[in-house]
Amino acid sequence: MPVAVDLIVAILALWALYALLSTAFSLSFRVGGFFDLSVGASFLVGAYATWCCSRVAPVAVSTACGVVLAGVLAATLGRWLVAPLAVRVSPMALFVATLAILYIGQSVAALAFGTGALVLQSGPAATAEIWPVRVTYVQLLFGAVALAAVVALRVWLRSTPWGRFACAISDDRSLAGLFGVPVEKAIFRCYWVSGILAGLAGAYFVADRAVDPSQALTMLLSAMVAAIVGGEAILGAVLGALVLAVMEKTLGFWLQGNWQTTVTFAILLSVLIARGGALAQVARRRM
Amino acid sequence: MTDGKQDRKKAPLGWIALAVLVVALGVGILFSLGPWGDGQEKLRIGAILPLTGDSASWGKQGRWGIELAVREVNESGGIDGKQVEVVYEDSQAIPRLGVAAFSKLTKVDEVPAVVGDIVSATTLAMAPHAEEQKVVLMGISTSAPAITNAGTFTFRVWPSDNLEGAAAADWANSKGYKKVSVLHMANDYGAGLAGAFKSRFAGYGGSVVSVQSYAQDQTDFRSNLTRAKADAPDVLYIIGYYKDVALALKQARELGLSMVFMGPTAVENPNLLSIAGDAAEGLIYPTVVDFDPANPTKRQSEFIEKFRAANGTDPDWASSHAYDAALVILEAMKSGARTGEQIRATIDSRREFEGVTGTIRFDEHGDVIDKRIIIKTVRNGKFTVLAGTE
Repeated sequence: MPVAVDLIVAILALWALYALLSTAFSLSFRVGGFFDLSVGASFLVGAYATWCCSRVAPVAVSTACGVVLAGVLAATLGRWLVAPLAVRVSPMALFVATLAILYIGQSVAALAFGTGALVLQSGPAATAEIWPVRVTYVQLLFGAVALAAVVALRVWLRSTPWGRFACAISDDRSLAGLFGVPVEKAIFRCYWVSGILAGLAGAYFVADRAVDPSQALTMLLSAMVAAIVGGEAILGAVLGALVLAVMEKTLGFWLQGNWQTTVTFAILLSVLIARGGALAQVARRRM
Repeated sequence: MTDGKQDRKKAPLGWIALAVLVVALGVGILFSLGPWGDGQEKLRIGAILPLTGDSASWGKQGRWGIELAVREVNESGGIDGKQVEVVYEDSQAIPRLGVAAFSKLTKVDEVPAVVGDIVSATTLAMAPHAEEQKVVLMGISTSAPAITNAGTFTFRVWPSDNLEGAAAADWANSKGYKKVSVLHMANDYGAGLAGAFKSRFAGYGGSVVSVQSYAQDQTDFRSNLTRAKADAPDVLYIIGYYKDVALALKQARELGLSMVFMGPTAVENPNLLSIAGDAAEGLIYPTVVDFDPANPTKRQSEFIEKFRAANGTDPDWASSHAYDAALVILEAMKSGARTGEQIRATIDSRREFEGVTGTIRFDEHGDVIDKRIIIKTVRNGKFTVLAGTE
């Protein structure tokens, strides 16, 4: 029984991380219309800025700083680099441009912090134990934050003007512009939100595990898979994150290291081929 | 019309930018290839190390060790009056990058010998190319058993994992432990050491209740550790590099695992302690006893002093073995060997060299033999010898 409970806790902890990053990616994808890998750069900024600030400030303050800086980076890149490029080049070229941004981010992180792993706190994290559940306070906190963030995002998209503008743009950008939606300003706000979500994921990562520059691409790939499996909608990204977390943790329990990745992605490929909206039917193709 | 004029204005600028880029690239390539410098002929050897990436701390130490060996030779007049130069390449401990680096060193720099790598997987990937190019490849701390049969041009100054795995099994058996779970990195190093441990431990009648592997970039070990928790072994043997073992130990304590934890020699790195903290207390690991800064021989004391003066820090197992790896090649070149075949023939015929790690004695496979293993532990945040295992 405790083994099953430990696995469930591990799944939920991983789900929180993937949910944050996959919704960040999904939001950027839906309004931008292309695979935006610069979300990985925001993830790195969230992680490293949180780590930096934690040397001089309490963890809560440093996490907030890290998240805000990640949002600033995403908004700045989006406004001054990605959005201007988006009207001049093809989606494929944009994908490559954002890949370049990610690699530059990794290189800067490596130059500034080295290529070794950094942790927020040395040693095991404090745990809460109510038999048979055993969970770290970091997991509890970020699990709650992830849930709140996803709910807040959904409320923002559904109930606020800027959120509804974002939905309109994701459906049809040209038509939204014709109907008076301030497209550029709305996209700018979406980059902010996407950056904050990615920054939260980065802060969680450095608090729960250890960050090094190479982790951004690894985590982003998982987030992209979760978003696509979920049908690219925001709720779908959250569901996709759950599917991915369940597969990784259960397969990780039974299969050898390299086989886990093979089987995970084989199953995901099968889901995509057979999809016909299997998960997309659960989360309709709108934000 | 306006757009056309603007496009015509942009076009020359684009071509100018491209031309500048091509010229800069060309100059860079020429500088990296050409015999620039003081015009004196030099003897060149290569070194492939993980200078960036997770294993960079070892690569840095390894580079310092090689630099010291070469500096000593150059300061005493070089070899036949010629200075020795080392061309360094970064493998990042990734096999395909090691192979690319090896190809560049042998085909472009035309070195007769290469020191490297620190990690077994990279050396194993380079070994067939060493055989084909007839270039000596001297592994620094490459311990995978498969390297024994990697080729006639591949040597190593670190003993095979068969020795370390056996020592770990001997210790577990001596303590009366009967059930061990193994969690190893999914590469040649992890699989080799796990296999060596398993066969020795089984010989004692012990039981390896599970063998799990993890991907090299994995940072969340909770499902593996949950499986280990379910198996309830006496010992959990985690075989990986210091970062993985540190994270696994941290997460194991968070999950409430309380069995004995064992690790490989690779855990002996200060970064293990900075990541794992208290979770590393009591970790048991075997290590080759040929270099212990706490109890140095006279030669080792001199090495440590010179190393400290040059680099501002103490040497460790990576730098001492890298020093000896370079030393063997340089000694062969001092005997007149210049090509890879000549260097190999000299090492094969001489078989024995004296380095900072003691006597380096090669067998017919190019493996170093007659090395002793001791058991160490983490106690009060320090790596210390476990009493009774010296």
